[in-house]
Order: sequence, then structure tokens, then C-alpha cells
Amino acid sequence: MNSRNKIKEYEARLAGLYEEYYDRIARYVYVRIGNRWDAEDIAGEVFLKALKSLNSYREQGVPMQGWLFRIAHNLAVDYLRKNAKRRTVPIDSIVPPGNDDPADSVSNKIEYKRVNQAMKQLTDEQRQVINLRFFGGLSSKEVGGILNKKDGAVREMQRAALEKLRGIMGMES
Amino acid sequence: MVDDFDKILDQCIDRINRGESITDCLSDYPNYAKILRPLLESIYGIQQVYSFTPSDDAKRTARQKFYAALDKRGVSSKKVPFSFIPKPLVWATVAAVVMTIIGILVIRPALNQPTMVNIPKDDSAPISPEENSIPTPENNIVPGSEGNFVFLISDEPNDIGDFDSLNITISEVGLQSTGNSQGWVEFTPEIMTVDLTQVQGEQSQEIWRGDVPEGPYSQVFIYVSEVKGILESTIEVKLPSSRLHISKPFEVADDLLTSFTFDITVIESGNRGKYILKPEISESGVLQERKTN
Repeated sequence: MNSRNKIKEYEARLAGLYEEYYDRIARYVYVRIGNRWDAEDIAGEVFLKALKSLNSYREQGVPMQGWLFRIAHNLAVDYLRKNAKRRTVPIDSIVPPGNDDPADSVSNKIEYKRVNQAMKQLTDEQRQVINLRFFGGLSSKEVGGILNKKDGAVREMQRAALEKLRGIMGMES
Repeated sequence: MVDDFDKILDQCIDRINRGESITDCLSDYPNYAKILRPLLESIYGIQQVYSFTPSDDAKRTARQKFYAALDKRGVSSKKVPFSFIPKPLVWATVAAVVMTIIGILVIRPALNQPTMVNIPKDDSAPISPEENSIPTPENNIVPGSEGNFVFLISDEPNDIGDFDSLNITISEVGLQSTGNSQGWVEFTPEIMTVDLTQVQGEQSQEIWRGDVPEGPYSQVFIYVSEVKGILESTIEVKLPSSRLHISKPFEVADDLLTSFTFDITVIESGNRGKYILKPEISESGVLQERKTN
């Protein structure tokens, strides 16, 4: 297949992934940055960026959906870097999801902070595994492709991360 | 042994991701149930906390941008193999575009009427049948005349003094109702562009007046579509997000005129010459007075 046809095939495949992966990518980004509206914007940006970069896409072990999450990761890192210097939205205005009921909102905030604090105590790779597996919905193999790890290593990190989270959050066994 | 357990845990996570329950998985591995259960329950707890579904609006906007970019590359949807573009999506997009055009044509003359979002019609809810029907120019509320709600913009002076003018364009305002009729009340301001240099401190600019359903509200959003500041030259002012948001509960009553002032402040960020807008919750809030009519 010549490169022009290959690009067309990639474009079609990317379009096919949009419906299935937009929500997952938005959730993945939300876990990283903690702002749902900006996560929605970034999820849209991921597909635009992927489209622009299709010429450089190489199918070597990482399927296209894994590549999308790599782009999402990079955009989230950029976002956090830019926003580290300007935390401008007061804490009162940050609302976790599912806040339709104000009473829920208070308990959600507390739970959100608790889980967020626990997540921060994981290593970066453990956080990535948790995020890609539970919010990206990727398999261990796909996560391994993104992180350049073997399946077994991903499974081990996954178990270690869950045990650590359970310990930090004081969940009863 | 550990590797076996890792694989079983992994399989269970795949099954949960596919929508199966924790119990389904535990029943297949009774010997591991005791150590599996707490780990799987912690996943469920984490997913609950972070779970959210992106809004239809955001998804639609992103989809339109994506397909526009795809078309720009010379690949129209016709050239894309059928199997990759689900037909319902094509029809959904066409339907969305048609509905948007109809919506603009029909509802545009009635911009002063708040739009109720996800608020069920209920005899006890303060939404009259007239309010639920598509508004006509005859039953529009004219800004500055009647209504139980006034929305104002003000600026808490911080670095606003650096500006000759600072125009913000507000495309939409959203109020979250938490009363009997839960959901979002949205309206398009009659005055969309406000120069913040003209509304400093005690001064404010009324941008919308009309009726909103009676009851408690918990949050206010303004959607800012453009910010243009003039120092010595025109500069771009950054927004933390295109939506500025304040969580401040208040109540609307039909026999009172409720005025909500959304205070915005501009501050210079670390680097000189860069400014950012943010909502000022301490200066925002409600003022109520008896209606005179």
C-alpha cells in the first residue's frame, strides 16, 4: 500500500475511533488535570492533533487508540505545566462531577480530595496504569505498548497500585 | 502464584470494564475472593469519584471540528469507507445541524426568555405553559422592563487600572436550579459585551433582565467567547477556561426582584504584560428588593 493510501486508511480509522474513544480520553484527561470542561476541550484537541500528525504515525506495536492516549498524556502535561503558574480559579468554584445535588456535592468533594490525595502517592507509572486501565478502558497489553512495558510488568504495577491505594484510603479488607 | 493472581485480577478488571459486576468475577475465583474483593472494590470506588460523562455539547462541538478538519484534508465523509463512519452518526450530525438552524431561526427572536434544560414539566414547578411553549416576539420580556431576575457584571479592581478598556463578550449565562425543577436555566444576555473598566467596584452593568423559575439556585456560569484588552496596544487576555463559574447558592422568588452580580477581576500573572480573568466569588452575590409593579 502506498503512503497516500496508508494515510487515507489511517484517517478513516481515526474517524472510526472518535465515537468510542472521545469519552474515554476525556475521562483520562480529567483524572490527570481535575477540570472536566478543559478535559472535554483537550479530548477534542487530541483528535485534531492526531489528524495533523498522521503522517508521523507508525503502527509499531502501539495501536492507534494507544497513540491517542499518548497524545492526550502530552497535552495534559502541557496543560498542567501552563497552569502551574496560574492557579486562578478559586477552590470554591471547582466542582467535582455529579454535583447536581448540593448535599452530594459536599460529600463528593471530600471523597474526590481523598482519592486524589491517594492517587498522588502512587508512582507516575502506577498512576498511568490505573488511569489507562480504569478510565481509558485499555487492556494490559495496550497499556504495556504505551508505556513500553511487558504485560506482566503492567499487571504487577496494577496490583501494587491497587494495594497501595487501598492502604492509603483505609479501605477495609 | 503471584503472577497467577495478577492475571486473575487483570481478567476481573477487563470484565468490570466491560460492565460485569464484581460478584460475577468473584464467583469464578472463589479461592481468591478474599483478596480479590477489596482490590476490585477499590477500583469501583476510584471510578465513581472520577467518573463523568462529557457533555453532549462539548462532544458535538469537538466532532464538528474534527470532521471539518478531516474535510479540509480533502477527505470527505464519502471517501471514508462506510464501515468506519457509523451511519447513525452521519444522520445524527445532519439532524443536529438542521435542529440548530431551526433553533436559531425560531428561538433567536426570543433570546430574552431563559432556556430550561432538563427541567421536567410539573404542575408544581413555576413554569407556566406559556413559558414552556416556543416564545413568540409578543410574549418576550423586554430587558429593563419586567421580570424577577436581573443579571449584572461588575469588576473587583485589581489590575484593571492598567487598561484603557477591557471588553469581555458573554455569549451565554447558565444558572443551576436545585429546587423542584432541577436543571439548568440558560439565557443569552441582551448586552453581550461589557467593558470591565467601566464597571469597577460598586459600579455594575445590567446585561439581562427577565423571568426565571422561582426557587433555589446553586451555581452560575458565564460563557465568555472573547476578551479584548487595550493597554498601549491591543492584547489578548487569558481565560482559565471559556466558562467562568461561581458556586454561590441563592434563591429567586416571584414577588422579589433578585439581582445577581457576577464579579470578574483581572490580575497580572507572573510575567509582565500577561493578564488573566477570574471570577471573584467574594464580591459576587445577590441583592433582593420588593417588586414595585
